[in-house]
Amino acid sequence: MTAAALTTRACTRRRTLRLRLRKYGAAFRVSLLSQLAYPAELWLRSVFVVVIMFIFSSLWHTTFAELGRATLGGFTLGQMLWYLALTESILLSRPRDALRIDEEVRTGQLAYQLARPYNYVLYRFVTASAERLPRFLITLVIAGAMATAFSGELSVRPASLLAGLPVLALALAIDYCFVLSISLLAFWVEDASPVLFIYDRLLMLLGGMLLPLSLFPGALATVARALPFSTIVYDPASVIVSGDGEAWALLVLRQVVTLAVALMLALLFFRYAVRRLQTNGG
Amino acid sequence: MAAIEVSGLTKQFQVTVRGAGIGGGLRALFRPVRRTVTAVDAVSFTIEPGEIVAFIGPNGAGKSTTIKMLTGILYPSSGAATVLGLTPWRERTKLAFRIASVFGQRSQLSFHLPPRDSFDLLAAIYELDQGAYRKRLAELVALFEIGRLMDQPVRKLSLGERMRCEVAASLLHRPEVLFLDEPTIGMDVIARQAMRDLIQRLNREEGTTVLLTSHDAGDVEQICRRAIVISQGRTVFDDTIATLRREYLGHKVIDLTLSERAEPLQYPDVRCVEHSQYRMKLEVDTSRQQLDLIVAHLVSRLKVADIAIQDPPLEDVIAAIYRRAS
Repeated sequence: MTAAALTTRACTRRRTLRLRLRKYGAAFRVSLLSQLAYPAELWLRSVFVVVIMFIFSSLWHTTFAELGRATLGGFTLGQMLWYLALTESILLSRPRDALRIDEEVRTGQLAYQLARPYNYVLYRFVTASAERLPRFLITLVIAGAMATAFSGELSVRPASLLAGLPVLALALAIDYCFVLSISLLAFWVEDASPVLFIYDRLLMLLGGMLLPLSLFPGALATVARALPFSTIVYDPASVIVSGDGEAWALLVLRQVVTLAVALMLALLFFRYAVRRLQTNGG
Repeated sequence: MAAIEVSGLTKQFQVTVRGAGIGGGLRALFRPVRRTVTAVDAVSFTIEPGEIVAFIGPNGAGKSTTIKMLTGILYPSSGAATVLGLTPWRERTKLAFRIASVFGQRSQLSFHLPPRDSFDLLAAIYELDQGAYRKRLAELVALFEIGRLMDQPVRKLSLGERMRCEVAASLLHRPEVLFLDEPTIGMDVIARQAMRDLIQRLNREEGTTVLLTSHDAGDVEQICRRAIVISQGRTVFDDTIATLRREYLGHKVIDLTLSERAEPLQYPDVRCVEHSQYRMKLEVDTSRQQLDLIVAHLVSRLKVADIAIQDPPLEDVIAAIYRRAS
């Protein structure tokens, strides 16, 4: 083969790859635009976090004052409130994809989604991420402002924020893969919401949403750390707040492995789900 | 090569049978009883490129299941099918670039955004380069007359306007085969007619093969030249619309205008379906009576000012098919 032919082939391959990837970029854009179509709704959705932050700020104030300690589980009051702001933002920003997929299975809307030339799992990941991004940022702005106002300090340093961003991105990806796997259960049970409810509670309790794992009693802390839920909630929040960079590489490695397992689970579920798909509604 | 070739296509589903009441619910929980339902039963047909075919049948006949197998969404239990030479469920992604489907009761456009954003997304999904996309978009905007709708949020469009955008969106990648499932459902008379004209024009100008599912006799009659009727998962008719109308009901309608008043006609196997002072509409069972004898009888007995012999309306034919199925 001549050099010119090789160059042409390489160009064609690059162009094909660019066109293939462009669809996910376009999906991200349209999903983001849909979210931003009603900015007032986005802000209103975050009102709930004001109530949570107010209650927990008061509780932590009292706890720190009563115990007369500067730190609890390695967190100062300001860090504790910022930890809470981050964990709330992670969980409250999650799109309701599980409910959407089982509705799509029930109504037959799924027929549209599956008949398109794209990777369904990747496409949904991209659209869900675009949906989550503005929600996460707005919730964090509100919750972070409250945390700063209640503690009188901005407890997040730029270096720890930088270290925390990849951990946060991986956490959201892991969460999405688990949620997608649960959503795909709708192909079998038609209503995946009970399973999602259990998953949510596990994230709250064992992931460390309300209480950092460093405050858990010995055996429970060990179990909670061993489970994947902490990689979604506790790890990103604690890295961003405490800037504990010592075990950062190990933590990222653990997240990557968890993500790989969660992704494989989602792909496996999808593969079997599509084979046994029974679309409803004619 | 045929555009669509279906041979013995069968789809069976497993459904859980649940008894009534709390007892039934508990039994289903611990000892579920499963039943096999055959949604599509050895259906076979061939559609040539450029044909425009109605695929009709009552609710639950298996139409949508067949279309979903032909678009690669569902795997069949047995049988074979090719669309543009590809096996849909094995080569779904490859096929997706060459076909399109529009489901009247579902939307592929983002509800809160203008159609233009969804069009941009679909162009990216179908990997169209910018030049080709802009050219095609201009063609479709002109053909479907949707220029003024392109920048309004979809939620603000009427159903007719939205459906025009839906069909235009599905044609961006120049599909060779178009599956239309109830494209005129819920539309008013004018919007429905506009949609029918567009489908015909598309078929004529671009040679797109169309498989149309509709319960609307007008859609079938005005758009299609051939019909495949499916009932309880089986093909019960596959021929031209004219044949369907002529043969399926086995009767003709004689429309008489009289110059003198007359009583409703009493004649074996002839039913008077409409009667007024100077008009009479008769339905003749052609499987039992000879039409020429009836006409001779009418002319000899009545003062006939005008006479028209018609096939029954397609609506009646479809209603009869559905009645038989149920």
